[in-house]
Formats: sequence, C-alpha cells, structure tokens
Amino acid sequence: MNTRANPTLWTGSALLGIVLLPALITALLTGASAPAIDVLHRYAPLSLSHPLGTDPFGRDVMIFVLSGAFNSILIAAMAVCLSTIAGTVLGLIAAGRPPRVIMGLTDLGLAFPPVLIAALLVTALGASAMGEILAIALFGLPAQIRITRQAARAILIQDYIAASRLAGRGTISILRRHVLPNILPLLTVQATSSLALAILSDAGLSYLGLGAPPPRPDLGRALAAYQIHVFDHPLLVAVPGLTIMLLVLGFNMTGDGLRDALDAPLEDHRA
Amino acid sequence: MNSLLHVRDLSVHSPAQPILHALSFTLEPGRILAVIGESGSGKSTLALSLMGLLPPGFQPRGELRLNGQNLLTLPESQWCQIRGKTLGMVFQEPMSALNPTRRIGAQIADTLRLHTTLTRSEIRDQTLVLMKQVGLLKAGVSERAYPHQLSGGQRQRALLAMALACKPALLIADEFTTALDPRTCEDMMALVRQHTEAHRMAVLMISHDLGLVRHHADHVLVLKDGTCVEQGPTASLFDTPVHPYTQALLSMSLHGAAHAPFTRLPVYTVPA
Amino acid sequence: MNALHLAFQRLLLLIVASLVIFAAMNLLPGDPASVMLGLDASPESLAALHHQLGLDTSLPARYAHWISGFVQGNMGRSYIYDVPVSSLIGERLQSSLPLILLAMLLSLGAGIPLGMIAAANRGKMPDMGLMAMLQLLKSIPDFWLAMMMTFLFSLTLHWLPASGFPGWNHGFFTGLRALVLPAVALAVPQAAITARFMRSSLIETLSQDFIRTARAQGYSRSGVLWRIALPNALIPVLTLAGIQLPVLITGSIIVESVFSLPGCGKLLLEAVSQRDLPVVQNLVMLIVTAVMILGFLLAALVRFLDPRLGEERP
Repeated sequence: MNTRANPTLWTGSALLGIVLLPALITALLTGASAPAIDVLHRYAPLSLSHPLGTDPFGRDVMIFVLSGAFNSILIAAMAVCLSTIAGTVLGLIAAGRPPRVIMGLTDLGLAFPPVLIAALLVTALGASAMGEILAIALFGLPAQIRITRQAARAILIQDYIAASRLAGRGTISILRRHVLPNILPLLTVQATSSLALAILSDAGLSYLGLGAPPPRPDLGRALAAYQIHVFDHPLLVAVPGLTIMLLVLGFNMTGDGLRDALDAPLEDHRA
Repeated sequence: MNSLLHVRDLSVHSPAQPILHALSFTLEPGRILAVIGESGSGKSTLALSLMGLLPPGFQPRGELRLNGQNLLTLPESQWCQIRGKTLGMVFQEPMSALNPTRRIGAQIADTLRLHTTLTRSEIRDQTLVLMKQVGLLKAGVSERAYPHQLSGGQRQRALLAMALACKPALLIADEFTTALDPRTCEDMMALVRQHTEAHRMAVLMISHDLGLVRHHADHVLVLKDGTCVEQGPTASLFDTPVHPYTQALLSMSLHGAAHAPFTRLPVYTVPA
Repeated sequence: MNALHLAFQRLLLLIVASLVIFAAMNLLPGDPASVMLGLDASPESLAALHHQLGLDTSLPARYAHWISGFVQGNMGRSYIYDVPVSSLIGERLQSSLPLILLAMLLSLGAGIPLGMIAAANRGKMPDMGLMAMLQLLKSIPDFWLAMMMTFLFSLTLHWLPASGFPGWNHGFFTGLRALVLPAVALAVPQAAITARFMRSSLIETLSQDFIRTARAQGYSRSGVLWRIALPNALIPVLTLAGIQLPVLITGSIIVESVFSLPGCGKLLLEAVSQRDLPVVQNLVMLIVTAVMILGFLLAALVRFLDPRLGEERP
C-alpha cells in the first residue's frame, strides 16, 4: 500500500481531523449531551467564551454542533458496522450461488431508501436511535453484499483455492484463511465511503424527525431547529451544514484516497 | 518518381524515448511490403504514423509522402479526408475494434458515408456488396447483426470491408491475421491480393507470420529497436539474409517449416 | 435475460416489497387504534375502531384486500383527513412529480456536459479544478444547500420565492418559479455525481479500440467524440440515473420540508407523525412501485442500447 504522494487521502484525513478531534474532545468533556439552556445569553455574539456565539436558547453553538457531530458520527458508524458485518457474511454465503437473488436484492434495496424504511419504522414503533441505525444499515446492505460477493468470487476462482480445496480444506476455512484477508482492504474502502453516505442519511433523517429522538443533539436536528433563523442569524444554519459537509467530504476523499492507495476496483455508482 | 508512398528519414519520439530512427522506404502501387521484427520494434508505431493516429505526445519527424504530398505537414481536416478514403487500416484485435453498440452494416456504411456523396440506398447496396465480397453474407451474417454476435474471423472480415470500402490506394494491415484461423487468414489475404491486382492497391502489412510474409509480400523490411536493419525483395531476403538479426529471426521461426506457407507458424521470440 | 424475464423479476420484487411494507405496518408491535384514541380509550370504542379499520380480520385477508385495492387505485381512506388516500396523493403529486422531474433534468443536463468538459481536458487544469469542485458539491447535503439558497436568492436578492407552492392554476411560470430553488438544491449533488461518472465513462470509452477504428475510417476528432464515443459513454450514465432516482425522491421529501411545499414528502411526514397508517402504507408502496417500474424501463432501455447486455449474462 502506497500512501505517499496521495494528496486525496491526506486532504480527506485532515478534513476529518478538523471535525473528529474537537468532537471527540467535546464528547469526553461533556458526554455529547446538549449544553444547558441559558435564557440570559440568547444570541450572544462571537467571543472567546463562545467562539461561535450562542443560539436562541442561549446554548453555545460550537459545543452544540460538536456534540451533534459526535452523535451523528456515532449513529453513522454503527449503521456502517452493522451493514458491513451483515453484508460481508451474506456476501460470502452468496459467493458460491448464482447472481439472480443478489441482483434482485440490490434492486429491492435501491427502492427502499433510508427515509422510506425510517418512515415505516417510525410509524410502527416510534422514533428511536436503533430504528434510524437499522434504516441506514438496511439501505447499504445490498450494495455491501454485492461488492463482497464480487470480490470473494474473484479470489475463489484462483488456482491456489482449488489447490487448498484439494488439500482437504473446508469451505469455511478457505473463506476465513484466504478470502477474508484478501477482501479486507476493499471492505475498508467501502466502509469509509459508506460513512459519507451514512452521515448524509443521518442528517436528513434527523432533520425530518425520523432519526434518533432528543435530547441528544444531532446535526440534522440542529438544522431543523435553526432553519427559521436563516435570515437573522445565518451563522446558526451555516455552521451545522458546513460540519456535515466537512465530514462527508472527508470520508469521501479518504475513501477515494484509500482506494487509490490499495488499487481497489472503482465503485462509484452510489452517492 | 511514381512510387505511391515515399518515406524518408522518418523518426518518431515518444515522451519517454525514441521509437523509430531514420526509416526510409518506398512502396509502389499494387505492391505488398511486409514489415517484420519482434514485439516492441516499432512496427505499430510505423503503422500509426502513416495513419496520422499517433498517441498524444508522440512526435514524428522526417518526410512521409503519399502521392507526393507530405503527410506530416497536413492539417487535421485534410487528414480526415485521407483516412478511410486513400488510406485504409485493419487492426490486430478484431474482438474490440468494432463498436459494440452499432450494427456492423452501419459501421461498414460509415466509411462510405464519410467519403462519398452516395444516397442512403446506394450506400446500403454498396454495403451489401462489400459484405458479400468479404464473405460475410455467405456466412449468413446480416448487416443488422451486432459485433458480439460474430465470430472473431467474421469481425475481422467486417473490419476489412470497412477498410476496403472506398478502394484505398494504400492498405495498412497491422497483424490483422494474427488472431485468425488458417482458413480465414488465407481467405483474407486472397481478398487483399484481389484488390492489389484489380485496383493497384498497395499494402503495408505488419506480420509475425513469416510463412504468410514469404508467400504474399513483394518486399520485406526488417525492424529492430526502431531501426531498419535490412530491406529487400522477399525472395532474396529470405534466401540470403545479410544482417545477423535477420538470420536469427528467419532461422528461429522458419525452422523446419520454411516452405509451407499455408501452415500457421508459432509466434517467434528472439532473445535480446 | 430478455425484457420479459426482467419484467417478471421486477413483478416478483414488487410483491416482496409489498409484503415487507405490509409486514412493517401490521406485524410490528403497536396498535394504531389505541394510538389514535389515546391511552384511556374504552375497550368498546377500540373494538369499534378495529372493525372500522378492518383490523379484526385475518392478516392474509387484510393483505389481499389492501393489494387488490392498491392495484385498482383504491387505497382506502386516511384516518386523519377522512378522504380517499388516492385523492390525497393525487393532489400532492402536482408539485412532487414536477419537482423530481425538474431535478433529474437539471442533474443530467448539468452533469453530462461538465463530465464531458472534464474528460476532454483530462489531467489538465480545467479538469483538476472541475473535479475538486465536483468532489465538494457532491458532499453538500441537499436540504442544507436549499436553506443557504433561500438565504441568498429569496431573502437577500428576492429573486425567487422562499417557500410554498401556489399551484399551477396561477400560470405555469408562477408554479415553476416556486420549484426552481428546490429542484436546483436537489440536483446539485446529483449533478456532481453524474459529472464524475460521465467523465470516467467517457475517458474509458475514448480509450477503446473501436475509437481508433472509427478514426481510421475518417471520423474527425469531434466527429468521433459526438457520434461514436458519446452514445457509448452515455449508456452507463442511464444506469446511474436509475440509481439516482430513489435518491432524488428521498431528497425531495426532505427539500419539500425545507420549502414547505405541499408535496408527497410533506404528506408522508404528516402521516408518519400522526400514524396515519393507510397513507404511509400506500404512499410508500406507490413510491417503491414507481422506482421499480422506472428502474425497469431504464434497464430495458440500456439493454436495447447495448445489445451485449441482454445476451451475455444468463
């Protein structure tokens, strides 16, 4: 793996660092919960004690947004973990089978974007963090299965696989010893790019109120709350949006950079 | 000087290194010149510079006269009138050289459409004549077929029809028989020969198949690392090769099969 | 796989999709009747509502009743508005459908030429600048872009309305003006994705052997680009458009919220927050059906344009 002379990777990681590090520090210090409401200091201007001012409830905007970023990343990361693990297992199972079912599943998954799954889940069960994670993960699942299956098949047709089969190795053992280590880089790249999509999905869902419910702050919900102030206090809308954009851009570029570094096949069909 | 193609001191530089060094030869109408040499000797670069289709960054220098006109100083717009009309080219890879999304009839008709003022129906008729000439109609291939429905040999026939459509004065054939079975290969050469005799078409053929070269070419030019090491009439070059490289080339590939032009010979390799 | 097989597969998928939607709405815990009536409802009124909603019949019977009605365009009545769901949806489609269509057209209309420009200048400054810009644009959340654009174009410059939809009876352009900002916001990230995809598709096509063949036939540089490379490079972009369609629909649900457009997205959200089961169930099914059918038409078109696809894959 060649990470030198890979400006995309470095720029992407740097952009991520700008948001991730402060978000992590904020989470450690405050537990990523919403800052206290302080009606005496509503709409405070930018100052040393409030670098980005305060919001209509007197909360520190920077702390609020960073806590929101932490919670958004957490939800996105859990959703991606879920779809990566489930997708890898199912993809490996599907590797030995004809493509018809997988293609059907992909088409089916495409027709159920997170908003629709979340709409169904929220109607039936009410809003919950689990439901949101599930909605994001389910949408990413078919692509994950398809990519894992494709990569696993490329390895399974190699001669050394036939040789180790002849040597008496079982299917599970071959998948674990030969296939999984070989597709791991690809899965990493895919997971990184999926994080960008998951962050966007989370922002959209929580903006609509279909995501994790309050009280924990969230970037999408921050936008929903601040939207009416776009004319008088545009900074309140600009900051959470820019934070989302930095995260998405960071994950996208890191994913692209990793892909170049690992020379994994291009998979640019998704947003 | 009544030669069709007159090449003098042709050199081609790629961004990385020189590819061809001071190549000179002439080609008369109705004659077949074979260019032989190992892979990487610059044969394909020679063919592409004759077509004005060198990859970006490749710099040709020298003189390349076709009917007295220096091609290297030609503006692109005039190149487009020569390509396909005066110059025809057939490539090595029949599987990928045809557009997969268009019917072969339409692709053959393209050459006619670009260079003639024929009406739509005349072009259609002419396309069918061409397809008949190259033996596609006989094989049951319709002009409405797509390339992926054709065998490798049939695709190469279609490509030949595209190259011959406007009865070019010079046909450049870059290893176009390499991927073919011996039958098809002979068929195609017979067709090319027919054009050299009927329309005085000259041929510059690049080939690995020394049996084919010996049987069909009038002249042979041996390339090594971009330099012409030897050229001359086919018979004398094959019988009394002067340059050690030519001797090595001939002895390697002709071993035991020198006089069996109808037999396909294995692709030779020459140690560096 | 021919078109008939493809259609059959899609039909099968639609049935699976309807089962998934039905299951989510009917099998998961939570009783819509008790939600509608509140916690202190009497058992008698609960039972009466159950009967009224058809919740006292068996599950298969309910599924059969729903799906046969859906196919005939009869989607039941809304719990909340007490009007037929189909008329509710039909009314909302008046702004949703043009919005999605406009966004799709803008995305393709901007993405394809930008991708071509980048491919034509491959590796040079315009390409690199454009690619960096596209990377940025594709990372913008569409609904946030919508907010920032209302700030700039509506509240500051007063060019376009910030929210609402006057309907089409006040004239075509009045209606269109209300949809411009939402459509642009939706289209920008998708156009960026389309442009990047178009660029790589065109570069890939231009490196193919048949491009050289066409040049050897006498096609000029621009002739080969427009007549040979472009049609081939556009085929994968059509497939991408099929993938982007559900993304645009999702985006439209969010952007409709930002602009307070009375569209299907707004209807869906209202129905979700009020647990208006028939509306949610039928609207989700309708969206899924639309995506599946349009996806099928696009797949069939792609197969028609690239005849290899239908035959090589068994």
